[in-house]
Amino acid sequence: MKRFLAALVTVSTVAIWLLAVPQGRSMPPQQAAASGSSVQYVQGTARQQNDRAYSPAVISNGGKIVWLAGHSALVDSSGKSLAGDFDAQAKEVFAQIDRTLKRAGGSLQNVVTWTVYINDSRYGDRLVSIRKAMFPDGKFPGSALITVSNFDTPGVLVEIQGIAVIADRRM
Amino acid sequence: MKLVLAGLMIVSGLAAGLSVAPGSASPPPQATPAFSVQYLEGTQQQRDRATSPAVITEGGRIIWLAGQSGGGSPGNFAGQAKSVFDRMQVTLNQSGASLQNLVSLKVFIKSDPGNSAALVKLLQEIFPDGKYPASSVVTVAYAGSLIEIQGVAVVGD
Repeated sequence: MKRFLAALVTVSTVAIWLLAVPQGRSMPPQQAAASGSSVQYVQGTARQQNDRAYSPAVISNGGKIVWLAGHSALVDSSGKSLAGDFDAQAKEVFAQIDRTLKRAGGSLQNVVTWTVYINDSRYGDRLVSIRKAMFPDGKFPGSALITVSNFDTPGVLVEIQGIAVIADRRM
Repeated sequence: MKLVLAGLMIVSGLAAGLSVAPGSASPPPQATPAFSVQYLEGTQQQRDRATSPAVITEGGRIIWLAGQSGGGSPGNFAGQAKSVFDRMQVTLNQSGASLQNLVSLKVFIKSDPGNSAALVKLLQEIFPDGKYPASSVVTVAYAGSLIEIQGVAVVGD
């Protein structure tokens, strides 16, 4: 009986060690996830991805967050007026956001969400088509597209305010 | 002898069990990422409009504020704008932060001559060091309030 008890205790001790050791070993991967950073794009429906060029959600973990001001453009980088030209303004806004993000060590591809303001709902389709061309890999930011009554600066037709995350990995 | 051995086993078994418990209950030790905030310098036009082109943060706690509209003083834009920031200050204080921790603002105002100039003046008073949140300003059609602001703040632990 004593012998049996001792054997039982030995078995249970070994079992506890077996349980304990793998748990201890499972810690390093969690630490790696905390020090690494990632951005993951949730795949949207065909309408979201192909027709409207946005992701239903983007999931980020850690990384450097870039809080962008609203960007609008009445002139291009050479000083030429873009008044009244929606396509030119939209393209210049995307180029501006890209330039701002490059100062932060990233690019337009790092935008995870943005709010797009236009002052005429009829510009919506043009905006979508222009931004679609900016993300050939289909990794679109999440987006809201809002028609407002106007902007602070007369002549502005579109303003975009975004948030970017510069992470180790983009998935 | 067997009895002593068995007793030893039980004690070591308990010890193993005890050593497991803290390991599985407490989260793995993580190095708290260093917190940093950096304001990108704006152009003259951006400074005149009291905004930074971008604010870059790493780590810290993020406080996502609801849109806050202005109270009191009907028709008084500057008064309503001031009350928006006063109310945001209260909410931020409750969260262990202050207006100085704002990194992003979405400003919605009723279109009226002078409104945006009054807003810029107020922002310059609140952020005298020029460390402005990254802002957008659009005009919308409001029935009651003349201004609403939705902000995000980031604060170190």
